[in-house]
Amino acid sequence: MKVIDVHAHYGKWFFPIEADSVEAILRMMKKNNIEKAILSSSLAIIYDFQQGNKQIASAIRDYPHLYAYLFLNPNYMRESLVEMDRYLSENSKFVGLKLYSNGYIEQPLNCAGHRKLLEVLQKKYPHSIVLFHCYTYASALELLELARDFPELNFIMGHMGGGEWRRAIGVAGEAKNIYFEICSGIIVQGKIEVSVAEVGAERIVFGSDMTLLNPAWILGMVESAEISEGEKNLILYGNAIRLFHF
Amino acid sequence: MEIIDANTVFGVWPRKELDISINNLLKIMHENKVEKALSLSMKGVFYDYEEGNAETLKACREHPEIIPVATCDLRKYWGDKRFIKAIVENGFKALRLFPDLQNWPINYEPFEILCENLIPYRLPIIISVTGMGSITAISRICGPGEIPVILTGAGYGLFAEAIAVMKKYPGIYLETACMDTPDGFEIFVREVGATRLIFGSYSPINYFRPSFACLEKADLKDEEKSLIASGNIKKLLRI
Repeated sequence: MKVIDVHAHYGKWFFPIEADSVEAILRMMKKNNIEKAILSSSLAIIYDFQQGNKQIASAIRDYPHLYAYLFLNPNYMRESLVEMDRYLSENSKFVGLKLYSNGYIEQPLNCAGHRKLLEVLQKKYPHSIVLFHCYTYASALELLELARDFPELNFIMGHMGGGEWRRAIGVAGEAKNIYFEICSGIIVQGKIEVSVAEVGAERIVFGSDMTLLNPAWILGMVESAEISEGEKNLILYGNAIRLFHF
Repeated sequence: MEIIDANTVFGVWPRKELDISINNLLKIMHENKVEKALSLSMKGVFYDYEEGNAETLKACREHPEIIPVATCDLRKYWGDKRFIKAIVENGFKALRLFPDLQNWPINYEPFEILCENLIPYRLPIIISVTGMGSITAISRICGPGEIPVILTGAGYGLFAEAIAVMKKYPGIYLETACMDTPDGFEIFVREVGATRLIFGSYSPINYFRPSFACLEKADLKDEEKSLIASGNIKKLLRI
């Protein structure tokens, strides 16, 4: 079964992980039958977003199966707006935004900075896709608020609420412009089956979190799940094709 | 490749709706061609360890593919040596501890006394790690006495600490249910050797395939995968 990975990274991590090059990513993709991957820069998320965006643009340029999310930092609004126009208007390899919350940027998901960025995005680039890091129930509530306020954008709930995935999908499922992405360290039995029953397979997308996590880890969860082959195909491939117009 | 799953449980999971019955464990083992599994009843973790251990022994008598692992709740243990003697005589192959679920710290006198009491028997401990520093603390208590220790629950945030400790103490092993990074197996094998990793899945709480797929797809030699999948635990527990 073919796979599209809508949540992956390029760059180093502060953990013992050495598979962080484009070559390593391509090897992982081949091993796990991943046809296309959308990456965001770990350098951009953790430290310097401008340098990270520049680095990832250069790294993936010659690889037709690699795409990128632009990472913007709401603590640097003027620079973020410049980055948005620089990459989204000219570079077709950038297929959406990746936005973070708490941790690295010390801002909630629904902070004023993110709201401003989404306002501009919706106006200039309607129907764009925004992947939000969403590891708690509280962040799911924040995402729901944003999804209601920006109906012309599509949102991906990265990590699907982490350990609080049941409550997160329960509350965010009502916003039809939210898609649910399954990667995390939480691989508890029934997670995929319950998610499919709750929001439908057509709203769940596969992400691996590589190079932080092993794609085999997340794929294994879908392989183990007691859902139909058609539903697995939607999660692993079909929904991403439709969402990103690949 | 022969698979022995060193990290399974059965019984009831009170904290959310999950089917961790012995029948579901056996079904998962069968579907994934797992020949044997180390397991214990969660009754011993959440309720009473004596009753839980009895339930584990009963299940193992009915299902020989389940290898009995005892547990002890250190909120209720202050040094009874007869307990250790009894679990060895009853055929338990290891003692599993859950500081994560029972909220006791590693720097805790009952844990130190338990480890001292285990030295004459060389019964391996399987213990959940509880955050940064816990592996170091476990190693300082168990390492010098050379009690074999299998660490469980160590994800990528604890890999550096695990490697550092495993290099220092040869009796410390890592169970791989949380080996979720792209090259975790390769890095550990290079740094501490394939003989120090022990495959486990934490089924049926977790899906089985994620942890096994990471081992299956790792860039390791077949003999290294085989050691991790079953060889090391067989040697350690003499099974």
